[in-house]
Amino acid sequence: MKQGRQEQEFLEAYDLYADALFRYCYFRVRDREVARELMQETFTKTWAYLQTGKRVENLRAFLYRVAHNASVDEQVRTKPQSLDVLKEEGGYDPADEGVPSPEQGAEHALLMRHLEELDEASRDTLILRYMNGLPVKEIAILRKEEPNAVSVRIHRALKLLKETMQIP
Amino acid sequence: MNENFKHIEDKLTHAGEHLALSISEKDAGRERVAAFLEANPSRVASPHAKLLLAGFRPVFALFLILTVGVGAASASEDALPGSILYPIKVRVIEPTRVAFAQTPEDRADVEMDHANRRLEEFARLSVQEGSDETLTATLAVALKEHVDSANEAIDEVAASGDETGAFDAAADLHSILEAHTEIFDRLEEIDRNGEQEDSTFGRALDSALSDTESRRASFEKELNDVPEIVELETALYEQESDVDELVEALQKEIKEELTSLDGEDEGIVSSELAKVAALLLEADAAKTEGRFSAALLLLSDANENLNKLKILLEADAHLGIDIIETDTEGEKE
Repeated sequence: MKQGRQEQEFLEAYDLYADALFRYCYFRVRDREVARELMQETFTKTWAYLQTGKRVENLRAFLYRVAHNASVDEQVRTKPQSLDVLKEEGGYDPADEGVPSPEQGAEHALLMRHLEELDEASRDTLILRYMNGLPVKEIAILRKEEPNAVSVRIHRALKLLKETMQIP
Repeated sequence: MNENFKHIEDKLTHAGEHLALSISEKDAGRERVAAFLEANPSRVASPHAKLLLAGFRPVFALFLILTVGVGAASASEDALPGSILYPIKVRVIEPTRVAFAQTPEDRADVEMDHANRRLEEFARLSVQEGSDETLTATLAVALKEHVDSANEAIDEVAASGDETGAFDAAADLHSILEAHTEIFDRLEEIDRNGEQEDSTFGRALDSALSDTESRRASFEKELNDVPEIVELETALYEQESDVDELVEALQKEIKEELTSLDGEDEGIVSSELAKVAALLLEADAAKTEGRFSAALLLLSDANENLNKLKILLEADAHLGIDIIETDTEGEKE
């Protein structure tokens, strides 16, 4: 397929951010296939937006916003699958080939269950910070909050998670 | 990484690492996105539309300058709100400067300079004509816009991973607002004979200062987490150069332009410069001991003190009121 420079650049963005966006969507909808669909939809919607001639200041932040909106729409459309159901169906197994051992799979499932008990803002912030590796400043831009507020939320959520998981 | 939470942070990171698309899934997704792009080829914008547009900004800016005329543009630089040339200054010249700023760092600098201009204009208007409600309300709105734009640009600097650059810029903005708060307090004191009055401009300045203070503190906290020594060393080198330049510029200004300083003012300036020198020595010691973050913060304090002193000295000389004296009295309390 012959591609122009802009198409090439956009596909480079896909290579860079596809995994992270898939992960972000997965933690919201908790369905691997749906998360894959949402990730692809994020890219096609973003491309369609750029086609209208509008400017995007920070492509990564913009992609996350589109992914967030798409996931929220999906959550409204279908009731999210609870982690108990996931557990009954064989535990945390979102990556198929990713989790190397059943022990680790069980450990991740436990972590996810505790993560699920946090409020949505805290859960989202921890996912963006640790599972997606975004810096605090970028999370603040994404969530339209002050970096200070994000740092405080991370600290409180970690503390709570540590207590509920009874980690010394 | 905080040692207290290291274990839980590791768990979260680890869980994330194991949640990825398989190669075949990623390739299939790429194919689908590529097919979509092929069916909808680019017409106008690209993910880097910002860069493309930035390339045209100087052309647009030049067009604006040529439209209003270079003479009028230059004459408008000192215009105050209410004058016939002021709209040229704020609607043509300043947007042109923003248009020429190609990077977020440049844009932050330009917006900070514009905020400083609004603050200076407010001070000049207050001294020359007393306060005019409409003009000060307009200046208050403009001040908020420039401070917000500067903060947005600073956030972009931070988001690009340049934590030290973001901290420096936030510290610069803080020193400008802090210096002008002192000038504003002094003007209020003279204008109201010490009586408190609800002021639109004062509220705008207070809110900008308090917002900037918390942002500066937040960036300072982030500095402690900067892991790369090379990055800190580079930032240190840049900060040292900034301080040197500022000291040189201040000395030149005192010698050539601020000739109205009296003996008492000179004494105060010497004492302020001595404080800066002490901070520089402390920074040097921290650098030698390998405490780069601490050295950077000390240099930044020196830089802020110099910036503030420069603004106060200029106000003292140009407004014809004793600003410097107020400053030191405030410190003694």
